Amino acid sequence: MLTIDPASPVPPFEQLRLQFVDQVRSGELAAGAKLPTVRRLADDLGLAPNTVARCYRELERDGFIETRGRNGSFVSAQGDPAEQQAQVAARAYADRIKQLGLSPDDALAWVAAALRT
Amino acid sequence: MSGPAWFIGILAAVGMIVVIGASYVPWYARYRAYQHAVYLRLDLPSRLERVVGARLMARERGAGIGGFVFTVAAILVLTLWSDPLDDALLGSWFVVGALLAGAGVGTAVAALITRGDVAPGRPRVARAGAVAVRDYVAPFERIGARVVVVLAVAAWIVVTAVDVPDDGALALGLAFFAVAGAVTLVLFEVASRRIVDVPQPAGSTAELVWDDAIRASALRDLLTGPLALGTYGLVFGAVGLGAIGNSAASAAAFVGGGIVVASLVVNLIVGFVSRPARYFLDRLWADLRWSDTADTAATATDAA
Repeated sequence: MLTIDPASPVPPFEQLRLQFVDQVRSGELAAGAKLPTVRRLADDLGLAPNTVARCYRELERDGFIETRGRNGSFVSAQGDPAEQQAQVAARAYADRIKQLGLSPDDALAWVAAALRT
Repeated sequence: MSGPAWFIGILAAVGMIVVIGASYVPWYARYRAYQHAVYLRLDLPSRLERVVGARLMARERGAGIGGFVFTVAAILVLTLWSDPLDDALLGSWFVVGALLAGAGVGTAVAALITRGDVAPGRPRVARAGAVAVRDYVAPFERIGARVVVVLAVAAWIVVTAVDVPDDGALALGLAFFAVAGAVTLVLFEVASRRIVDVPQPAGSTAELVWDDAIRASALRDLLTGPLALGTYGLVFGAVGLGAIGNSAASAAAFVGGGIVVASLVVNLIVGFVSRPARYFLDRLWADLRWSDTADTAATATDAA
């Protein structure tokens, strides 16, 4: 979830960028996750489209997200290549669990069990 | 125009007027908001009660107006062009089909033009990830509607290709429901994407959750048209195949009819067990806690 507080001394652009960075680093936004379009996020948060576009540009420059042409912006895989592969695999597993309608707790338990064997 | 068709037409038109009238009654809006909250098992903060009620009423009003306009249009068509539609059953179903299509159009328009609002200067929240129609409507409903409509159109093509030794009413009914099902399915596919693209200004998590709830409900309402019209088309298709007279077509009609009944039963059971109305909560709000939507959370955000 992103929150923009107009009363904060931190500029909206920086609030947005920091929250994206935090969420990518914490894994809340997993590698491969699609981001909202610039216009959509600007409308949702009551910001100018240029503010969101600038934030996306900086996140892309820092390697947090990548733009795939007309398909939109996606969270990049972070860290070394092995970690990147693991993040992509984790994303695929999470998507499949959602498709199957299974609970996150069960999914985590199965991963833990699989890692132990 | 036959008596039953008149009766159904007048009943539908009056029903839609009642729906439109009820949408202006404040206590009914409140009742519907809390009914929705109970059904979704989702807390409704008291400060959102009026907003959620008003948006639900706007959607019901849209469905009512659309349903009324299409019903009146169907009655006019039946009155002016009564010869091929004189069949009592066909005329009645034609009115019901028009009502469903109109309600769908009205729901789509209402969902596209109504949105939440946040007072200037208040903090705003938004989702960090993109959303799509598949996040709001359960796969068995979304795919089920497509399958039903495709089968109805296929039955129409088969019955049209083979000379059915029956009256024109059957072929006309099948053609109407196959085409109406396909048109309402296209309407759903186009309108649903546009509805999901509508911005969601929200001042708290609770507001965003409820915006999603109203959106999911509107999208599921939009699916009623293609699902019902496609099913009617399948019934007419099964009867049409049965009327062809050769054994293969009769067997196809028998199997088709069985599939329709079995699908309806499976749909009912799956719907009862999986509660598709709550699908968006599992998909988009899997980690939602009671405190995120409770009054205390809304107050805390206000204070911030």
